[in-house]
Order: sequence, then C-alpha cells, then structure tokens
Amino acid sequence: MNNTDRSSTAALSRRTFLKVGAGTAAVAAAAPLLAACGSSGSGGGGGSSKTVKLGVITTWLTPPIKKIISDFEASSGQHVEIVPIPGSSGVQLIQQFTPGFVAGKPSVDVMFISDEATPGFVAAGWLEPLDDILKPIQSDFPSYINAYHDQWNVKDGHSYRITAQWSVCLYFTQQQALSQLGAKTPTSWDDIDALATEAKNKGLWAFADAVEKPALAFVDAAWLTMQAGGDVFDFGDATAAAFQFVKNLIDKGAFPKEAIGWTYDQSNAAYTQNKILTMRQWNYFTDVAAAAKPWYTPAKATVSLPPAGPNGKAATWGGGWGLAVPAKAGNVDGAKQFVSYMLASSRSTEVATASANWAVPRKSNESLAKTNALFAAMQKYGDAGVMQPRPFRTKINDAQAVVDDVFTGYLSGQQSLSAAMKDGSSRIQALGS
Amino acid sequence: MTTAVEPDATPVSGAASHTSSRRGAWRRNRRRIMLCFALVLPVVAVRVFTAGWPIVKTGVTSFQHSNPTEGPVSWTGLTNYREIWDSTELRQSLLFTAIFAVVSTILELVIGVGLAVLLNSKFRFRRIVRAINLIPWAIPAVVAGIAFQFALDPSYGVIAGVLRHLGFPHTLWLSETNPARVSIIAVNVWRNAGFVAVLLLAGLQTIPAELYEASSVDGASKWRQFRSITLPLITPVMASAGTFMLIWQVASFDLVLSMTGGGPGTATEVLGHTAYVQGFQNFNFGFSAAIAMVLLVVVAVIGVIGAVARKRSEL
Repeated sequence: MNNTDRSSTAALSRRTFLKVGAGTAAVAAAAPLLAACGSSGSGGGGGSSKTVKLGVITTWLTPPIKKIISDFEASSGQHVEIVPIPGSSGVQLIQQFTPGFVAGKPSVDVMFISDEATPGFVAAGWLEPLDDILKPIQSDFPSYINAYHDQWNVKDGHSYRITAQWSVCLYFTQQQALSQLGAKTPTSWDDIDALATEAKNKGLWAFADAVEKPALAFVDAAWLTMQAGGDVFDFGDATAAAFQFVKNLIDKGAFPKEAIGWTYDQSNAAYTQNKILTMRQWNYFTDVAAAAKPWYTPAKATVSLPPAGPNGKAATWGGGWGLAVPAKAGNVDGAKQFVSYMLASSRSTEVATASANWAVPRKSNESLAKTNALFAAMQKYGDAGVMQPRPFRTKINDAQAVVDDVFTGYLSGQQSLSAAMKDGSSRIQALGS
Repeated sequence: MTTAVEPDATPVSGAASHTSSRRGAWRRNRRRIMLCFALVLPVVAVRVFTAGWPIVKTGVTSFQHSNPTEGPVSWTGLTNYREIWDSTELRQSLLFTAIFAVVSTILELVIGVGLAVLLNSKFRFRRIVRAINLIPWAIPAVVAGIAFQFALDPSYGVIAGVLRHLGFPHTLWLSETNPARVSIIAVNVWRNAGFVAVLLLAGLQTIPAELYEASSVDGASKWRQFRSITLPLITPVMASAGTFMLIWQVASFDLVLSMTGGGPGTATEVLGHTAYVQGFQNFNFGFSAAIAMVLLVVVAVIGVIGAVARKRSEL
C-alpha cells in the first residue's frame, strides 16, 4: 500500500466512523422522538383539548349519523375526529386498542366497544365511569337492556359503558313454505322436530344456523340453552339438552351438518335459496332479506317468537356495542359530552333512524315500532318477555372458545354427549369466575 | 558472553520484530476493522432488536402469568409449560400440527418434483406456464382459505360439486373431522407445490445435459434417467426445500384461521393457531408465549435435522 492509499484510508475510516456513529445515534434518538411527537398529537394530551377522537366502525357512520355528529360539533365547539375500527368483531377491537391501553396512551377519547372487549377492559381499569351520563337516561331503556347493562357494563356499582347498538337473536320463518307444507309456525322444539321428516322429504331443513368456529357456534348454543332454561357456560342439563337437540336434528337430516363450517353469509344464502324453513339469525338479516330481490316477500322472512325448549320457555338473547370513554383519554370531558349528546333521550329516534347500527329500542323511540320492521320485531320480543341478557363470564373470549370447541366437536362426532359436558365443564371451571 | 548472547539476540529480535510487525499491521488495519464493525453494527442492532429481543422477551414471558386485562404480570415458573403438557386439546393440536406439516411437505415434494420435471422440459408457452404455476402461491393464504370455504360447500361449492360428479360420495368437507383435515392439507399443498417446483426447477437446471446424453447412449430409459441421475442430483435441493417447507408449515396457521378456525371441535387446530388465539384473542400472553417457545424448539430441531440431512445428501 503506498502512502497516498494509507493516508486516504486512515482519513476515511476516522471520518466515516464518526459519521456512522453520529448517524446511528441520531436515528436511535429520533425514533422515540418521532413516536413521542405522534402520540402527543392524540387528543392534545389535556382536558382542554377541543378534539374528540371517536373509535367507530366506519360503515356505521351513515350520512345522517355524520349530520348528527356535525350538529354536536357546532353546539359543543368540539371537533370529532374518526379513528376507524377495521373489523366488526369484538376480538378485532381488542387487538386494535389493547396495546394503547396497556401503554396508558389510548388512541381514542371515546369508542364503540363490544361485549367481548368490555369485561376485560373494565377489569383492567381502563375505562372511565359514566354514571352521570347514564343516570338521566337509564329509565329510558327497556328493563331487559338494563338487566344486560347491569351484568356487562357495571363493576363495583359504576357503569363503564352505555348501550348504543343492540343486536338480538331473531327467529326467522318462511311462512309461505310452512303453509305449503300445511305446518304452523314452530313455537317449540317439538314443533321443529315434528317438521323434520316432511321438510326432509321436500329437500328442506326444518331449522338451521351457522355454527362454525369461532363465536358462531357459541351464539347458537347459548340461544338454545336459554330455551332449555339454562346458561350454556354451566354445561349442565340445559346445555346437554340444547346440544342433543341439534344433534338429533342433524341425524334426522333436519339441520344441515355442513353448518358446522358455515359463516353467516352461507346460512343467509341457504335461507334465501329456500333451503331452510326456519333460522336463528341476528337482526341485520332483516336488511339482507329485504335486499335479496326478487326472492324477498315479507312472508319469506317473518320474525316469529323464538321456540320454547323442553321447559316450555321461549327465550332469546341480545347484546351489542356501547360507547365508552378510556380513563386515560386525552379529552375525557369532550368525550363525555359526545356520549351524552348522542345518547340523549330527546335524540334517540333521530339516531336510531339514522343508522341500523345505532338502533337501540328505548321508550323514547317506541313509535318507531309502527314504521320500522326491526323495531317492530324488537318490541314484539320485548312485549312477549322472551328477551334475556347475553350469557356472561369475565373471561368471555376463553369461555366462548370452550363452547365453540365442545359444541362443534360433539356435533361432528368427536365426543359423546357425556364426554362433551365433562370436558366443557372442567375447562370452564379452569377459567375461574 | 557475547557469543552466548548473540545467538539468542537474533531470535529475540526476530520475535520482537514479528510482534511489532503484527502490532503495526493491527494498528494499520484497526481503523479499517473498526469501520467494518461500524458499518455492520446497524444491521446487527436492527436484527437483535427485531429478532433476538422478541425471542428473549417471549422466553421470559413464557414463565409469567401475563394478561393485560388481569392485573400486573407475575412469575409462575413452569406453570404455562405444565398446562401445555396437561391439556388434551394442545396435545391434539401438536399431533395435527405434525401431521399437517409432514404430510404437506411430503406431498409438496412429490408433486413439486413432478411439476419441476414438466416445467424443465421444452414446450411452447413454457414461460407462461411457469408463471401460472406460481399463482396459487401468490394468492394470500387467508383469501385462498375463504375461497375454498365456499368452493367446498357441499350445497353449492364448485369443487364439492365436481367431486360429486366424479363419483366421490357426498362429503361434508369442512364439517367432519377427517374430511376437514384432508381439506386443509390439500389446500395447503395446492398453494405450495408450485413454489416447491420452482425451487426444484433451479436444481434441475444445474444438472449437465451430457449426463442424460451419455445415459441415452447407454440405453437408459426416461424412468431410469430420473431415478439414477435426476433424483440423486436434486436430493440436496429437495432436502433444503423440504426443511424450509417443514419449518414454514409447522408455524403456519393462516389457512386454518380462514378455513375452519381449528374446527370442527379441535380437529384442525394447529399450534400456531392456538398460540394466536391464546395471545391475540384471549390475551393470555404468558401461555401463548410458552406455546411459541415449544414451536421454536420444534422448528430448531427440524432445522438441525434438515441441515444434517442436506450435508449427508451432498456427500
């Protein structure tokens, strides 16, 4: 190596080393700085902020809902910024928001929160009590929603979420097809059972529901267990009766075994293809059915009262999403103003008609039952006294997963009924409360 | 004395000069070496941060009860690992993970070799066919899973319909235990066989044409050529591809997530999916981390076996 080479190498290495070192240090320092800048932007970090960050599924923001939000902005001086919740499942919501809660920096000031997320978020102390907002409107909710509220949204006497979206397991019946068979609307499991042979001869299923994993199997099992007079998580006689009822229908060809792998799209498709006589489905199916033209007539998707199980009790359950405010939100006051505004009794009719996803039956919007099929159905169920709260467990996702596993395992023949009950019971007990 | 010292003086002086020349070389190269380290350091730091630290953190978490919705983290020793051992569902999951990964890999290699040989032969539109061969692999697994969920529906699914017309008995492909397992493996093989074929095709193209010409002169049949030339010479590539696919599939869960959710019951549950559900659905981070560590050990063992197999196949 000649002198020129050596000197240039030495000079290059010294300078470059310093540059590389300084550059690396700068990048290392800049990353947290940039992150801090990003987080400080959320809500402004203080109660004086005028921006309310709303976590919501964007399809729920119909133009009329946006108009109501604009009215809130005009009257309160707050600006509402939308933070989209990408999916529509409670689990996706948990995945999106938990890191922020754990870090003590929630990315929203107010959010729609699902049943699946609520027990954990409340237990972790991540939510702000909303007692003051609920107090003036609580009597406006029907008693069955208040019963659900007490179970799901309350801890140590404080309310942490207020119901802002309501879903009910409805029992849809094909009246036309039933009358062609000379059958009446089933009002009990026995009636469904009696339909089995004739329906099968016509290539129809007497009853169906999508029961795939995850969660869908739980929904159906919980619905039927309630009709048998029990709580699905108990894995007692009522749960056993519900499991056996579906298995018997499968064995008779009156319930599609393939429904063990069905999504709701698949069960809806089978229903609108006239393959199913009666079906349990969420209230959103009223819109799906009405949109299925030219198939649709009101008689093809009639909402009937749920069937009664072996104890003679017709029952169904409801649940939903509610508005909640993170305890460490940047703008707690603004968020509470927003919740109070959107859920005011004086505004419940306007909000409920603005989007089906904000529709909650309340005394202040009872008149909607005369014009709106969904509200009519919910009022029918309320008046008949068949509504019950969603089965509750603190570790709700773990508990639902147990029901999913055991129910589909039993239906597909992996376990006997007694083994399934024993397995389910021990796994639920292992979860604790 | 002088003479006694002098002979020694030369070696001492030689050693000193050797040492000093090494020192000089080190001094001369020190900056260069430091520059090398400085240039490599960011990459190493990023890798430690993105791979090393998560593994260490996962290992630590596996010895904790960690659920953000259940209060502070606490040390639980081997409890999470004991729960894995005691859980019937997890043992079933481990068994199906092994079946899924091993059967898929074997089928992918067998079909991959066949496809690679076909793609290596000369025919019109060969390049287009090679590109088409990779399409299933390019489709995201979740999309493929949802599509097959519909295609396998016994009422209106196109594949279920075709199979019925071909004389297969009426089968509930995703609702019964063994058909669901077969379906998951079949869709996985459909996705990956084309990719394996491309890996093996690269191996085939390194085989000298003279070997085939010489064997033809000796009267060897195509089958004999395949058995005695092609197969032995692509065995190292097969060992590498097989190891790679095995590791990949032991840890994969996307198809299961989108096609069956692990059902019916726990029939198609794989460890990766169980870890995902426990971690990101139920938020049992400690338990999920323990499952992930078990997976890591399994993958490491497969990796070592694969490396040994590859070395032996090269001898």
